[in-house]
Order: sequence, then structure tokens, then C-alpha cells
Amino acid sequence: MKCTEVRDLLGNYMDQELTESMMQRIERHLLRCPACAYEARSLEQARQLLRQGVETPMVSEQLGERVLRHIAEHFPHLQTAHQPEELFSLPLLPGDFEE
Amino acid sequence: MENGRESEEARLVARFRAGDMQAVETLFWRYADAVLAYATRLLGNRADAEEVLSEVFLRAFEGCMGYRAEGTFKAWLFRIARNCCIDRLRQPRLLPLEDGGEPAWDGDTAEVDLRVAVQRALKRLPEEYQTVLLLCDVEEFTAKEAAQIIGRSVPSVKGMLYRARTALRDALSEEWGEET
Repeated sequence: MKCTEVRDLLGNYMDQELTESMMQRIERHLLRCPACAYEARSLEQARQLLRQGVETPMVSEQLGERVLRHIAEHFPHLQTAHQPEELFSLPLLPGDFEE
Repeated sequence: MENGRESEEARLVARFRAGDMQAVETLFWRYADAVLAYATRLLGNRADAEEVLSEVFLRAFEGCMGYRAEGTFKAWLFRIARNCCIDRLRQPRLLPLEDGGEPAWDGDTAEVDLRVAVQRALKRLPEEYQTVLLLCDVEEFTAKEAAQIIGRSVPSVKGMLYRARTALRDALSEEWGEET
């Protein structure tokens, strides 16, 4: 494979979105080509650093309750009591969260 | 499994429409941390992200009253979150936030250094690059889901993701280089 072909497929290679034979062809190229190997390794390293380095804040109970209270006030039809089982079988609108 | 979750969430939405607060709480707590984290990373500060959190869920449930969503509830929520963050980033500010110093993080030095470097490197990238990296490489949305969230084609998202990864690598390498 040529370096330009490998670079074009490097994103799919990182995401493992290629056929097994194509993954192997790229791996063989990476073993022989230091420039492409550096490109692949450094991009993967940057992705790992991003995953480790981004903030992971959690919603506190207090904040959650505040938001939920806000939602409850905004939608007067909401009831805090549990709903009867029949509601589980309410007809859905066609296409609800389907692709 | 994904389809099972999608239909379960469609049922929760139906229960919300019927007035069940419990369904709202289930959907909220399922995604609240992820939405807050995404907004904090994109906006660069927690206070704005907390305000955005409330706005995102309000808009989402408003939409649920008569809306037929495409894709998963999570993808739809992140689409709203992204729009809310962009609106917030465009608002003029009276006082700059966190531009003058390091964010106040707890943790050991190496961990804090990494977080500072990553946050700075991310901030140097265009908003679309930040978004695609956070969606695909942190939240692990597929390119197809990310395309729905940001309103682009799948090939365009894949191309943008590659350019964003390259830009992040270069920005990180400059961040580390500046410190040595």
C-alpha cells in the first residue's frame, strides 16, 4: 500500500471500521513505514490523553433536584405519583427515536 | 440491546406525555452526568454548564410533547446540548471566565497538568473540532450518530474527525512543549 492510501484510511483503522484483511494490510505497512507508524501512534496517543484529561463532573443531588423542580414547574401536567400500569402501553408516535 | 433501550426510552417519553414525573426523573438521571460533562468541556466552565444542563432538559421535554425524534434519545439530547452551548458561547460576556488563570482542579499534580493541557489544547481548536472529538472519542457516539447531532453527512464527520484528531495532537504537543 502507498502512504497516501494508508493516511486516507487511518481514521477508519483507529475506529476499527475496516475489514480484517484491510486492517492487516495497514498493520503490515505500519511495520515497514516509520512515518505512517508515527502518525498512527501519535493520533492514538492524543485520543487516549483526551479521554484521560477531560473533566468528568457529576451532577450533585442538589443540582439534580433543582433541575427536576424546574421541569416540574414548567410542565403543569406532571404528577409526582406513580402512574398506573396502563400508561406503559400508551401508543407511541410512529418513529419515536427510531432511525 | 440498543433497540431495547430505544423502545424503553420511547415508553418513558410516552409516560412523560401522560404526566408521569417518575419517567422524567429516570431519563434525567440516566443522562444528566454525560450532558453536564459535555457542556463543561465545551464551555470550559462549570457554572455555565450547570445552567445549560437545565435548559437542555427543559428543551428536550418541551420537544417530547409533540416531537417525533430521529435516532436515539441520547443523540437527540446531545444535539440540543450542542445548540445550547453554541448559543451560550455566542453571548457577550461582561467578565471573562477562567481566561486569566488555571482552572481549580483537585487531584495529584500529574493529573491536574494533564487536565490543564487537554483543556487548553481543546480550547485552541475550532468549535466543530471540539464537538466531534468530544462526541466520537469521549462519548463514543458512532460517526452516524455524531452526524445526526451536528447536522452533517457521515463522510463529512469522518473527515472532520481525522482533521480534529490531527489538530488535537499538534495542540497537545505544543502544550507539552511549552511546559518543558
